[in-house]
Amino acid sequence: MKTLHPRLLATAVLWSGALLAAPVTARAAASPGAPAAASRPSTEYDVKAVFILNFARFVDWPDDAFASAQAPFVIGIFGESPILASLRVAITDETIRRRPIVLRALTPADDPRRCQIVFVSRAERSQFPSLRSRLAGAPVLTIGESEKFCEQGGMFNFVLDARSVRFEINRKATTEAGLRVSARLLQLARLVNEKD
Amino acid sequence: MDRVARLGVWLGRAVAALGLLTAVGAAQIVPPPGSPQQLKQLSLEDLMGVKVVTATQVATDPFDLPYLVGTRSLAEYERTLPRSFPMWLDGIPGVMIQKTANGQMSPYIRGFTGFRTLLLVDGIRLNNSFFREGPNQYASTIDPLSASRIEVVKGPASVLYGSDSIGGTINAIPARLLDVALPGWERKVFARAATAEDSQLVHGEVSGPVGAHAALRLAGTRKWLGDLRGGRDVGVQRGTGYDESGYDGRLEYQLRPGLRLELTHQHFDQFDVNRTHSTPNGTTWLGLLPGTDRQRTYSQQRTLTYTRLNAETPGAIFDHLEFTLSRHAQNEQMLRVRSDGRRDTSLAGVDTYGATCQAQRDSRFGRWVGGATYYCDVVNTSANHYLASGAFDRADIQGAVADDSRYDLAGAFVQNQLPAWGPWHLTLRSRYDKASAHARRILDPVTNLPTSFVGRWASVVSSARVTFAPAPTAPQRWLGFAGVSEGFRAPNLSDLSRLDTTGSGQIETPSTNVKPEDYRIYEVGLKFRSSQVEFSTAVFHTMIDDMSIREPTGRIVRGLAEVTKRNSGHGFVHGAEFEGRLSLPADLLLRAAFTTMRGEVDVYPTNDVRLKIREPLSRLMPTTTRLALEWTPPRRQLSLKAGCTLAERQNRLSAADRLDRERIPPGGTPGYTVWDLRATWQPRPKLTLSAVLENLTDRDYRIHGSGLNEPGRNLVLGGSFQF
Repeated sequence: MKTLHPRLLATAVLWSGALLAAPVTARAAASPGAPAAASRPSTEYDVKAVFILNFARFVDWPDDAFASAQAPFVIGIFGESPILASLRVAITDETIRRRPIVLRALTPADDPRRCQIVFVSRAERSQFPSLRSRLAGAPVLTIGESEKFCEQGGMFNFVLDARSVRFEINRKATTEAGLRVSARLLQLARLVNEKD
Repeated sequence: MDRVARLGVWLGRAVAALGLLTAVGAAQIVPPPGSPQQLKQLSLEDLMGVKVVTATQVATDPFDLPYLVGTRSLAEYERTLPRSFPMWLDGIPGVMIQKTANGQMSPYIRGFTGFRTLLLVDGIRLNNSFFREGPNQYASTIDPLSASRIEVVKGPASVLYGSDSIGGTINAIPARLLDVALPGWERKVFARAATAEDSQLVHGEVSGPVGAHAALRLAGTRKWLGDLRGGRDVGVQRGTGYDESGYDGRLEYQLRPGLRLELTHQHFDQFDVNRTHSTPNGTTWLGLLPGTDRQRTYSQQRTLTYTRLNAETPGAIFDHLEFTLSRHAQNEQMLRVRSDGRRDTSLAGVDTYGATCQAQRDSRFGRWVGGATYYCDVVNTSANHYLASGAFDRADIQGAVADDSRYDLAGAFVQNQLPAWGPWHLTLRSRYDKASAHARRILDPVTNLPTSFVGRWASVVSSARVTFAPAPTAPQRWLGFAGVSEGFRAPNLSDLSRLDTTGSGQIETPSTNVKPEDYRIYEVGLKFRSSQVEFSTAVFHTMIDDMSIREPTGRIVRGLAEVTKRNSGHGFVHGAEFEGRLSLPADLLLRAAFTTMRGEVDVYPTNDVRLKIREPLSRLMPTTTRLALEWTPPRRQLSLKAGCTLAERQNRLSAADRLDRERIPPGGTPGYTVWDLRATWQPRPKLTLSAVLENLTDRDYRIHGSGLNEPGRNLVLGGSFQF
């Protein structure tokens, strides 16, 4: 380094300009039409949240899955998970089949049958067998993120493969619950057979 | 005010202008790449292609980055079966794997290697102040099977990683155990064997949960290599065989949701790697001259232990925090037996203690990442000499660099990705570094007495990168990028105190007058992605300023012409890179990669200090094209691939290259065309079998600047099985 001072000066000017510009661009970002959380972090769970929205669009629920024609589409999150925050952002301004989307953090005391989708976090995978028995026969799509989730009767399961999010589908479980899964999803999924 | 200051002023004004334009409402704001808002616009297929870095949980689709990144996964390693960690990088545009010896491979990235490329293991510096200028053997001390993927960032990344990141940065990243739910203990074995290498490798690992909140992995690798057989004319290259082994362990503990503690330990040994080009075992292929030493053998060990606390705290002051403490120990032993029977031994041990922290915060004012790093090298070296009779002759005051030395490198950086302005994204980075060296025992080559040296340096570097994505939500995506990045390299102990013979038969003596080197790269690139086609391309121009080069002193020391380091080198490297794929009918995929570069720097071609000329950069990668056709039928667990590599003759040689008759044939390294075939079969989800037939025509060829030829026709078999 020949002299440090010109570089320090250049760096100071560079960042001053950027910091002067940032609030202005940030105000513009907060203007009507701009996403409210445009600069929040993007995470593995952002990707999973968007997958869940897509699942909701490529799976058909029977009419009796909803209490009424105006009933919202309910996504339940079982166990503490960053996906709740990601889903909050992802569902902004979204509907599923003209139904508003409602997120619900589920506890063991809640009735999971009131949901159309139940996401079982990795931390609560040990609770899944009891959850499954409570959901037996109900048109509720169960989504997990644990190994062998589908083998244990779960319907969809996220897996990480070379840093990409992939998913598995247990067709037997979805059929038994009365859910119809689009061929497009089936084509992209890794199909898993449930262990008897 | 120099050019850098003027550039800073100009960039500051440009950024302010961008903000003002935004303020008048001319822009449509789009969310940053990877946000849920943008991810929602992707098709399911594209969504599956998004890459996630689970350690920081920041989605980083390489497509959206304002530079070119090469990545390799462990799954690719098991399919392509490269023979070492550096060879895993082979094929990434801009990267050439030079081989001084069979077990001493040195990646050249955009024209630079040695202490001008930065090696990281999980973000922790493997480079230390002992690293020398030329090709070195340290990348070979990473067990590829201890990593789950590697990332190569091309071009200067000094702002993020500090000194040495000039040509590029290589990061070997281990698997995160808690990110893949482990229902129980899982075992894996991997084996590899190759005919022309006469090699066998076995690897075993176990991983599984420990209680409800922890996971553990234990792994070990052992490799035996015989003498490497070259092409049809060169045949077996005697003395090139060696052995190596490694083991690693990793424990991850979830203290509470979002708070994770990691502890990792790695150890790697290389035994008796011969630099055969310095001995009569060197080949005479195309006029090469074998060396005269009876033996030149290196052994080395590397041990890394680190612990990391990783906190995800969305909504707190910082969204993500990371603290790392590390100890990296590297030892090497050299044995040289001269033609007259005299023996020289040289030992070196470097203990590097590191502490780093990094924080991330997303706000209305941009995505901020900041951090601080501190590394301290404790270096001990020695050199002993023995007579041909075996009797002890003398002990030197220092080994390859100053003995009893300490080197400190501390730095702090900040990065901000400003809120998007329409299709534009601007990322700014700055870094301040301070380096100090305290070399306590340096040999004064004239008086032959010990002396000492204390030096301190500081450096500030910045980078500005902008991307332009005109239709970020369309099924066909374009992304243009441009940027200016600065790089620096603080003088290390090798610059300050190296006492060693060079490849040109000179003796390099310690220099205490060197200052940091400055580099600046200008880069423009374009990326495109659709379901059928994907490519990325870039042109770059690296300006070299104050490079420390060997300058003759006119003196004779120990019978050899003395050279020493001075900041008198100026020059450039520029080039172009391309990488792409095209889906064809019948489940075929065509892949292509292309690299071309030119580089020049000032050198002293002779021992005359008055004669300084500008010459090609030493061991510059020749223009190289790679083509491959891959067939992967759907729903069949089979993949077949045929590929060829075409490299041009490299006759742009530096003075040192022309003198290096043991490694570079007269007139330059010949070009070559090499054909390979590969088949991968996955009959069960956890069983992968691969076969690679390299160099189908059994051609004799050599990577430019290497001390041995590449394997001739080589059948490589490998398989991995999990149970």
